[in-house]
Amino acid sequence: MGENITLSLTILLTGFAVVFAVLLVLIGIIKAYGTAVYKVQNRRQLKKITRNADLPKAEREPEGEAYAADEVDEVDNDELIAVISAAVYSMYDSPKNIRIKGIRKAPSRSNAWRNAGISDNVRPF
Amino acid sequence: MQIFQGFLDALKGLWESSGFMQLTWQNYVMIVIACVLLYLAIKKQYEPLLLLPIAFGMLLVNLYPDIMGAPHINLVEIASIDDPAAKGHVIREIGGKIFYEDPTYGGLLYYLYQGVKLGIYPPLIFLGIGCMTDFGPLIANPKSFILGAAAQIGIFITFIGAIFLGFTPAQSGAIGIIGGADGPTAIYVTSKLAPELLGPIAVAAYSYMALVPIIQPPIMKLLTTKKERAVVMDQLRPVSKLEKIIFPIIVVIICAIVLPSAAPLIGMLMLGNLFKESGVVERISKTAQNELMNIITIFLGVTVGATATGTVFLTPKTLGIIALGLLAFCMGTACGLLFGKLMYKFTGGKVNPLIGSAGVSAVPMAARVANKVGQQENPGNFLLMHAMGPNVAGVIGSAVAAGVLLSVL
Repeated sequence: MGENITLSLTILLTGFAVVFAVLLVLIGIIKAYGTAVYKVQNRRQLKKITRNADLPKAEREPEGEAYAADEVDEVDNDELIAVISAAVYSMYDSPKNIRIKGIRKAPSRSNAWRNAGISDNVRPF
Repeated sequence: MQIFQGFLDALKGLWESSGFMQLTWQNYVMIVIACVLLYLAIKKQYEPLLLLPIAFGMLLVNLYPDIMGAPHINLVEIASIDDPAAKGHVIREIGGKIFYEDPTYGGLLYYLYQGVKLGIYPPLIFLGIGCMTDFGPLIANPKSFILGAAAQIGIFITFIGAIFLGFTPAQSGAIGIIGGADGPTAIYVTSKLAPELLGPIAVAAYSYMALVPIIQPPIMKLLTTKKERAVVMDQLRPVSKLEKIIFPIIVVIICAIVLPSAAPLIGMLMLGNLFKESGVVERISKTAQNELMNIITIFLGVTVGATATGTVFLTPKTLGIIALGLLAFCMGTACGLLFGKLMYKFTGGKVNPLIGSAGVSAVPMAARVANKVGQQENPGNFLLMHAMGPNVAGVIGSAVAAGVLLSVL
């Protein structure tokens, strides 16, 4: 009986202390790096805004763009632009002077891409 | 006549090997229990992703126990080494007699079960969970960790209850972990500390997780006032991508250094989360949270269910485990709520104590329940994101508690 009480209290105390200690350490670290990251990013943001304000009006980035750039998944967009550019380049028989000004989603009239996707997925091994 | 005799012998052999002759009454009771669990999984949709395979594994093993049979070697005595029956077999000489080894292979589920026995499946499930978990609310409000830790006290209180009910310390640790409300953690700890209790503990853990919307609200209403439940919390700050990337790395470093035995669970959870947050391994992340996790869920569920044979499950111990599991769950919820109340007091009423109940893992069910109970007092109160903080902290907390139990016991 006495042995059971000793073991139970040992486990209760150890478990309580260790779980709280580990999680409290994590709270401290997360708070610290959260503050650091927030400060660094804020400073960067501020620099961007200041630089933008120094430029002549015509060359300024539209408002909110600096913030939006952080939010957008750049990798995906870059890859998409690269793929579309390569497709256009090959479609027009590799012209020397080609400049893509913008990419807009065209209203879907044909389901050619869907069919290509389906055939790719159901192709036998 | 000879043909007819052969036909009768064949029928007799079939009858003797059939379930009618092989199964015991315990197997039949377990078949009924498995069917009830299948009903709950399909009709009531109680944690169907795991309850359905668990129940089916239970059904299979009680219909055909050899499906979990371990491989073994029969020794067949022969007159001499030259006996044609011994050709291709290992010959042994024991006490002057000659035997050849006739190996029997294990059942299908025996081999799949090795992933549970060796502690492989639960960390892999955690990998998938990590890919699906957003730790943003926890990073935005790190104090949520306190609530995630508080809800783990139920584990250790239940440990005491189990010890006094006559369970061994290792079995008590495995029973207590039900209070963590985290299936993979419960299975991982039980497979290491008390594999003989795996069936009842897994069934109890997943059943209570499915019953969170029924178990928690009465405790929440009992321990909080109307005013506390109506507290509207401030909106969480946005969390940057960089913070989310650093989080899993820091957590795994701290936890694995302090508690190496928790490293397989927390390591896989954080690896999965890093896959998700880094954004550079999208394909791996998708595989881990879909195909890999689904495959492991099938293997884990069916084999854990297959440990629930009649002779193991139908004992007074199982009733004790089910009662203690409920106690663990209730104590975890209550401790989370009480710490939530403390935070309410210390912050001058800025924290809604209901989010403390989400400190038991059961992601995201417990957070949804906190949100729902909060909305009963104030329909415009959205506590979901606030409750997700303690909820995901509970996952880390229960893995840390598991590490403590594995280290100490």
